Amino acid sequence: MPKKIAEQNLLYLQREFTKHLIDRDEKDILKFLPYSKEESISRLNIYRNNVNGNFESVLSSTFEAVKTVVGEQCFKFLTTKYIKNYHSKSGNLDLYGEEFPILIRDNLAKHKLDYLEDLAKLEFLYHKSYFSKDAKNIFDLEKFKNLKPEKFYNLTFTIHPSCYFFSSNFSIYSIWKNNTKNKQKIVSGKKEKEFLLIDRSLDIPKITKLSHNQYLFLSLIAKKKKLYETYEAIYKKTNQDFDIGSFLNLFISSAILVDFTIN
Amino acid sequence: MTTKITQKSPIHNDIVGIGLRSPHINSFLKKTQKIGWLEVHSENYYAEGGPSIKNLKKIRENYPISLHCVGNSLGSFQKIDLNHLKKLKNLIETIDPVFVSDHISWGMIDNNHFNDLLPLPYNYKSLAAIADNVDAMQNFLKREILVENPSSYISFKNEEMDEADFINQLTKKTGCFLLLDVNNIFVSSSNNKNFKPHSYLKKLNKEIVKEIHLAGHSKSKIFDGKKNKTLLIDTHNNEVCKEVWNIYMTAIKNFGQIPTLIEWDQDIPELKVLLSEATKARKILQKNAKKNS
Repeated sequence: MPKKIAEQNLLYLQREFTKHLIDRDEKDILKFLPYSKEESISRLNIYRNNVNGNFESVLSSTFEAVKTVVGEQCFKFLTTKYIKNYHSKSGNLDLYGEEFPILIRDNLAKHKLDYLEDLAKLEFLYHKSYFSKDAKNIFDLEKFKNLKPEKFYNLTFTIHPSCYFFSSNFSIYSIWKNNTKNKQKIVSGKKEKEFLLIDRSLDIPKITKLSHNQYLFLSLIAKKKKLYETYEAIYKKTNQDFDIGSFLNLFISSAILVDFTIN
Repeated sequence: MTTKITQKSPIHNDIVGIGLRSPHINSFLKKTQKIGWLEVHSENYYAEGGPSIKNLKKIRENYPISLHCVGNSLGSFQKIDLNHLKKLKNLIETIDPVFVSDHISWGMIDNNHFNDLLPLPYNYKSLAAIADNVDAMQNFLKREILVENPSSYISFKNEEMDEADFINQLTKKTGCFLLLDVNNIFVSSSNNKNFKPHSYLKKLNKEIVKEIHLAGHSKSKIFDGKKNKTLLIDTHNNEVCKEVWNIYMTAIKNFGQIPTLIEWDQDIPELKVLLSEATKARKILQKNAKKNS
């Protein structure tokens, strides 16, 4: 592009400006500025600090437990790398940080902190649950209680939209619990399969430990499987009988199941 | 061409407001505070559900609320992001705000967002780009918006007009109005030395100012290759300084009794500190009203 046209071109200027924000060695933007090289760089640093500061602050609050586990310095290394490699795709930052677990996996695999990727995934789901849709609990308990037994088999259920299910090979719940809300107690990533429910059905997000069967039950119900299909699938998988009634009681009373449909 | 605008209910009686930030939400939910209106950053309320929007709806029952956006990137060469605007439109439908505003700045290019208020060179190419985006936003929302003069830490070579001219032309071209940030005038003037605050106010068209922002700033040292220089940073973490109050007095004299808002976004103090800043603004407005009566 001829120099004069390039310098008048807003698109070119904005690209060069942001290239410099991402990588301070990119210096074409300096030719648009009426200062010495040192002064231009110092002034542009103010914008870079603002941009990075915003992103860092979002990542710090979303991934509080990861930050506590790895420490300030390592977290700063991770956030710097993330900001450089994963650009924000929205004018608001509600879902910024979605790929942070991938970055952790790619950068910390050799440090024997395998559970960190799962911890980051869990924290992001917790964050997502906070921002998810509201739902009115319209579960008609009377109607449900009075259903004829044969109707039960074909029931499907609606799950509160803030619910996410997560399984990990590590004791991720206790790691999360012990490394948030300014607690400093670090728990090692013990190998122990865990199944978790993340939800905001009663306004405040929470994480609950589930049994394997409960986890399978909710995951299948969320996929709109009929009650009998759910039961059969779990039985086939675990080869264990279980009390589906107690699951229904638990998840209806805790507002995880907000409605049902008779098919 | 902009759409015909429906001007929303003006702010009555007490025209001084404060920016509503999360540490003060509970105070407003518990009891009525002595303040005329509130402003929120709209991007903090784009979630599909959850307690934030629920609380805002509750607070809206008692106060007029203005929506101040930071993420539409009006000054981008790239066209405005309609998905982002849809979220704003939903929020407008929920909150029924008195004003909707954003900034004379940009923060997105090639679909990458920097979520900041980056500076525009004041030339005709920038004017065309931002005017197109303001038009698109007003047409989409079917209402007028206000645009805020930015805080700036740099100026560009070969600019074709000054900031006041740029604003006059933008508002004329699009029918949008100005959210006059008095602290930003002081900060940009001090950092760029390319205009004087009082001449800037004099140059602005009188009828365009619909809202005023007041805030504090901080200082930072930079190195120019030979010596250190002090720049002012628009941190919103302090009380409004004496110089900004003086510019405000001139602004009120020039533009009349304009709804005025105290902003405080970092190191947020107790609510009473913000309310006391609001009282200072109210006294200036009352004094000005008496003079003119």
